[in-house]
Parts: sequence; C-alpha cells; structure tokens
Amino acid sequence: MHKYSVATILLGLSILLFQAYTYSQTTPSDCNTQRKQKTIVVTSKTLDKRQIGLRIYKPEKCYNGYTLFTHQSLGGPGIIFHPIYLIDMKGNIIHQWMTDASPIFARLKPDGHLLYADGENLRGVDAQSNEIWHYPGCIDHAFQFLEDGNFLIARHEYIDGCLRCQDENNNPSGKPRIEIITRDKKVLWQWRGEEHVDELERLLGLKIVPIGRWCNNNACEILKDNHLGKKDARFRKGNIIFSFDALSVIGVIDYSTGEILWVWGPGIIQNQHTPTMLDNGNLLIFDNGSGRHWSRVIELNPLTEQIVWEYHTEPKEDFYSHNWSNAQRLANGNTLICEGIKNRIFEITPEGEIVWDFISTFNKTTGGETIYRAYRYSPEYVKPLLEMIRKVREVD
Amino acid sequence: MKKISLIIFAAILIFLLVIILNIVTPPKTYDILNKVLIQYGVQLEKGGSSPVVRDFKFPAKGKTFHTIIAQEKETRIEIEIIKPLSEEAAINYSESKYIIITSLYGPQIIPYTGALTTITDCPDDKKPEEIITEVMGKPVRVLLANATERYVLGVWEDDLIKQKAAFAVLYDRENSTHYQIIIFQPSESFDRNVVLDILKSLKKHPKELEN
Repeated sequence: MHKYSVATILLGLSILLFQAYTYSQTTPSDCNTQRKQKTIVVTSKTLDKRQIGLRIYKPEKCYNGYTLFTHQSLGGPGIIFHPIYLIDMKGNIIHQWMTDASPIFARLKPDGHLLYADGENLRGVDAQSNEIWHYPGCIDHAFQFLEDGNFLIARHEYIDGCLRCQDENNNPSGKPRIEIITRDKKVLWQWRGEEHVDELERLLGLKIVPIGRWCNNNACEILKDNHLGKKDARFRKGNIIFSFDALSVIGVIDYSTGEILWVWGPGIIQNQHTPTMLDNGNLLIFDNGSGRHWSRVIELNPLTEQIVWEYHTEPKEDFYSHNWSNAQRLANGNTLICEGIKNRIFEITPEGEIVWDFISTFNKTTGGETIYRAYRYSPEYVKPLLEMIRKVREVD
Repeated sequence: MKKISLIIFAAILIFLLVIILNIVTPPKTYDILNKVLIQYGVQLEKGGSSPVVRDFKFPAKGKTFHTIIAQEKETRIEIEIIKPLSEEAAINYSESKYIIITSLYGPQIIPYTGALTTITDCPDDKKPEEIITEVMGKPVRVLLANATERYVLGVWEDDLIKQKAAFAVLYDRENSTHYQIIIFQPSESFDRNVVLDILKSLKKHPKELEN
C-alpha cells in the first residue's frame, strides 16, 4: 500500500507541475506581449445558428458578472414600456428598468443609477426607473460619464428634429458635436465637426462629400493615461476619440485646440463602431465590415497603426453585423462582443475560445429590435444597484 | 485484495455521505401558482396548483411588473402582470402586444447570411390562429402560435417547432391590473381545449368576490 501511495502522490505532483507550466504559457499578460509583436488572429467555429438563449457558459474561463443591454425599439402606439435588462451569467434577468422613451443603449453608473440615450435625450434613472435627470440634444450614439461627475456626449445638431439628415436642398442638416456638459446642463467644452472637414481631408488625403449622415459619429471617449501618450502627444491623456462610421474613419481630437490630430481606417475598416482605448494604449474596435459582409473585432496599436489582435469566425460570414455592435475588453483579458443585428452577446478568450454565448429573445414579446451595445460589469460594480433593489423589495 | 476492499469502503462512504447530505439539506420548496396570484385577487381553477419555477417582480415608475412562470408536467404557464395600469394605457398596450406577436410570423429580415434561414416568409398554415374565448366574463382574443423548445414565439420551420402556445392579454378594470398569459404545451401533444380551459378558469378569488 505504501508503494502505491507514493506513486499516487508523485503522479499528482507531476500533473500539477504540468498544469502550472501550461498555464504560464497562456496567461493574458503573455498574450499581451505577443500582441505587440505581430497580429494574432483568433477564430472560432460557428455555433448552431438557430440556438437561442444561453448557448455556452464556461464559468471557469469567463469574466463572471452582469451584462447590461436593451433592444432598440421602433416604438409605435401602445408600446409604452421599453425594457433595459441586467442579466446574470445564466441569462436570468436580475433587474429590469422600464423607460418611457425608447432606449438605444444604456450604461450603469458606479452609484447604481442608469444612464441611457434615446436618440433625443440622455436620461438618468434610478433603480425604480424614475427619471432623475435628462439632457436634451439628439444624443444618439455615445456618451461617457467622467470621474468629475460631468458627461462627455456625442450628438448631432439638426435643423428640424433629431432624425432629419438633409434639408430641402439635400444639404446635410446634422452637424456633429462632441461636448462636455455638467450635471446642471452647462456646456463646458464643445467640438464642432463641420469646422474640421479641411483637417480631415488633409489627414486622410481624400475629398469628403458631405451628404446624408456623412459625419455620423458613434464614439466619444476621453483617452485615459497610457504609455503611448507619453511617447506621442497625439494619444496623451485627455484627448478625445471619435468614429465617423459612414466614412470608416476613427480619429483623435486635441482637447485643447479641437484640432484633429490622428485619423485611421479608410480601406481597412468598414462602418466601424465603438473604438475604445485599452489599458495598454491600443484601441479595440468593432469593424462591422458592411462592404465585405463579415465582421471582426480588432485591437489596433495607434502608434504603429498595426492590427495586433483580430477575431473573426470561420467561415467569416457567420460573424457579421452590418451595423451597430460593440466590443469590450474585460479585466481578465477576455473580450465581450455584441453582434448587434443578431441580438447576440458573447465572450471570447484571447485565444478566441467562446466561453459565454447568449442570444436574447426578450424582444419577442416586447417589440424590441436589435441590440446596439452591451456591457459587462463586475459583481463589485453592480453592488450599489443590487443594494438599492434589495431595499426597494424590502419596502415592497 | 486490500486495495479492492479500500475502494469498496470509500465508495460506501461516499454513498452514505450523499444520503446524509440529501437528508440534511431541506428540499427546495416552490410556491404554487395560485399562492402567488392571490395577491392580485385572482386564481386559476385549472393549472393553479402548478409549481412556480420563476417569480420575478420589480417596481418601475410607480408600477409593479411581475413575471411568474409555473410548470407542471408538460404544461407551462407564463403570466406577466402590470399593476396599476390605466384602462386607456391597457387597451393600447394590449393592442400592441397582439401586433407584436402577429408580426413575428410576418416577413422577416434574414438574420444570418447563409442557407439556414432561407424561409423568410411564414407559410399561412404556420401563422397564429386567432380565436375568441371568454375570460372573467369578457371576450378575449387568443392567439394559438408556434414556439421553439425554449418557449420562444415566432418560429415556423418544422424542425424548430417544438411547442405551441396560447397567448392572451386581459385587463381587470376593478383592480387596474393588466395580465399577459401564455400557456405552452409540446406541439405534438398540444390540446387546445385543455389550454383554453386553463385560460378560462382564471377567476376572481372567492375572498375578492366577498369584498
């Protein structure tokens, strides 16, 4: 018996050592190092396209938390409730907001309140969906809440109503604005897109024909402190990212002058959405690929303009959202992807393995359409909201 | 020989441990559907004893939104309750619900490229059938519609149709309460009489009637 016990212990130790070795070969930090050196292309196979609801969940490999999303609603008579959902990893609704206006997308604030854009207003609601704040101004695509309590918003200024793109003479009526506003609705900073067309043309080497929603901007984000910004002032903390999807262009604006400092994209990305800066200074972009009919998520080093990481499927056409959508890099190195047109939200590892996959069917009885964006939050981040909900239920 | 004895001993030990854990852990108890419905002053005379498998309630804008899912054997009852809701809002809301459900079986935009969703128009024989029945003394429109194995309406491809549902919305004016009821049964054994009987059995609770 003694002989067998020793053998068993030795075998166990060998397995542990082997696992430790393989783990060290695949840690996210190591993947990040590799990303800097060359483009890592990761792919996944297509799942059964007709499966719905929760399709994959590998808890040990996921960034476990809560996912926030809403189905865009076309509205219409009688549709008086517009739900926004917070679901757990098993696809169960943990909390639901019911809004008066039809939300495009929402983000959860650290204090547990929710902000959502409805195309016309940016609205803040509490856990019971009571409106506590709103800011008017055709805010249809992007906003960011800032650490100082202010908001960065991307909006369009229209001549007549929020959806009218052209006037009677087919001239564009929507003028892009990026603004920093205070909670008491004062505009602290404003960028007027139409004043920078010449800069854009010079940087791109292209002639821009300003028709329709030529300058439809689906992103605004203040760059965080990053090491690239220390090497190149264009990417320094405080400058602002924009994304004109109709021109397939992303760029960076100088906060102090409003000048466009850097642009990238035409000929490489198509109709992209939601570029966002990662901790390593790279940009994560959902490249919709509306011309090539397949989408990908890419990580770009803006300094070298090299794509250092890319995710698509094989066959490529199986991952495709010609419009909307976003990608979010999670704290464990995984990436949450919203394939908006298909109401699909999924999480992949740096190696492209799908570890969570969910297709929402919540819109089937509510009249909702596609999902514009989705966000994953850690349990810690959601705590204030859950606490508020618990108190409300106790009273109830 | 000693090794085999040890394995048998370990197996017996694990078996006993599992039994002990089962005894110590209290069985998961579920409310029955009527126990949840009583707070709204109604009950289902048929299907009301089905165990509740999901009970999700949240407040929003001064209203309570309550989703209850009960399932007994192969019959699943999903009820969504909104209270209070004005009659005018309820009429509009109900109408929109029927439009939404019907439109699920209308022409669809292809969600995927490729051959799997070539049927983008629902054949007439797979579209919802509308019938009128009486619930709580009022005529109610009922849509009999196909659903997937995961209880999602809006499906018409033969191999995906696994469930069939009766969908109805109704309004209790006295209590300003709006109900959306969906009753599912496997499509192969779907019995419309049984399902409609469940729906028609929604009644005011006797205590509510006394008041």
